[in-house]
Amino acid sequence: MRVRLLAFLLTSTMMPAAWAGEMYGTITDGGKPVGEGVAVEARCGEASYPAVKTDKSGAYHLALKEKGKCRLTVRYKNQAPSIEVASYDEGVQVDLVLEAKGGAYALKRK
Amino acid sequence: MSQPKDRWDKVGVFLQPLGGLLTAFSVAVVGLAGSQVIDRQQAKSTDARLYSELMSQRELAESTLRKDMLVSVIQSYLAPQAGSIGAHLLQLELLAYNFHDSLNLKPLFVDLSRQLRSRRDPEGQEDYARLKHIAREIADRQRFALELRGVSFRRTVDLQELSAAGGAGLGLDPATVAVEGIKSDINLRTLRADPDQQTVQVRMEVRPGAPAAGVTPEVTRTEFEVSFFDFPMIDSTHLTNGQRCAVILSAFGQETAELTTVCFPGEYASLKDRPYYDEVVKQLRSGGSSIER
Repeated sequence: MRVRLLAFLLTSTMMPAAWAGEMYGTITDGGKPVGEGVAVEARCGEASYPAVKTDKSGAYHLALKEKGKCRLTVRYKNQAPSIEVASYDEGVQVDLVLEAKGGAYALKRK
Repeated sequence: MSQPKDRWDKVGVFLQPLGGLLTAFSVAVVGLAGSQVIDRQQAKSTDARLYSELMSQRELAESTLRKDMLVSVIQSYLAPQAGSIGAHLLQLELLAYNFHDSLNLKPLFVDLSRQLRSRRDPEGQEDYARLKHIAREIADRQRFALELRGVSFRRTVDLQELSAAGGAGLGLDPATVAVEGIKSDINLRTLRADPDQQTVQVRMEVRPGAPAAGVTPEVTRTEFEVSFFDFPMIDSTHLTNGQRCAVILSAFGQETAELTTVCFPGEYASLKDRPYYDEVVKQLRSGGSSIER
């Protein structure tokens, strides 16, 4: 309940600040937030964006200029799983789940 | 000849009246304490009655105010001598912010969006953007509230892939959600999308996550259109376990669309979405577990 309340507060405080191409969310591993300092990179077409770091609750926040398909890469425990996502005029919430299979991490949408 | 009185007889002479006195004192103390307890209970009961009267008076005043406001706004919105589109937008905004959890405002949103989209001037486009913004804000508010008690997940629809898939549609990654400890497997299939109207036709199938052995699971299947003007508290799918699932269109781009699915306990659906009688009976028989939460 506390985690949900925190997520609610995070998302509700982020929403008013949503702008075009904004992407935000949380990253979890085994149902728990990944914690602080996990790098998240985005690549939209030819444009690539410098990595942003997650905060204590595993939340990240990216401001993208491009709209359309993008690829998010998460650098976690010496691995770099990635996933295709989409950027829009409006801000979009992309919560990610790290799933370990045979020692390799895969990234999924929550 | 009387025997000489011993020490115990003397003590007895002294204690007999003292006993009577103590008895009288005990009765007085018990009576006083009892009357104090009764007084306290009466005071509590009076407070509770007063509080309940105040609350019901406040509720009544608020209901009357809301009713008057609703009637006034609806009447002026639907008046034959229609006002300007700007006035309609303002009225709809008033309705949406005040009655979004008890009224289905989709018809008004759709009607106004049709009028605004037919206008090609910049003002019309601006008003349409404002209308969409209102709808999004309401849907987000409701989603936030429902996510506190329920579970949500998001999926991206590739519009090009969907168009290429034809009539079969495009299946999205399934999700397993657990609301109040009840697991459900949710499968979404997008059937078609209309980029002009910004709508997506969706088929949703919900299966119990852990059906009992030897029991055929009750599956909920439904097909509906999702637009920016669908609100999860108002427009949701009733599952066989009494819970609800709603799909929200969170974003619509040139290449992709974003769908958010939120599943939540039935009590959090709008007032107009009342539970079935058998569900109420089931809840009562199970000791009102969902109410105790």
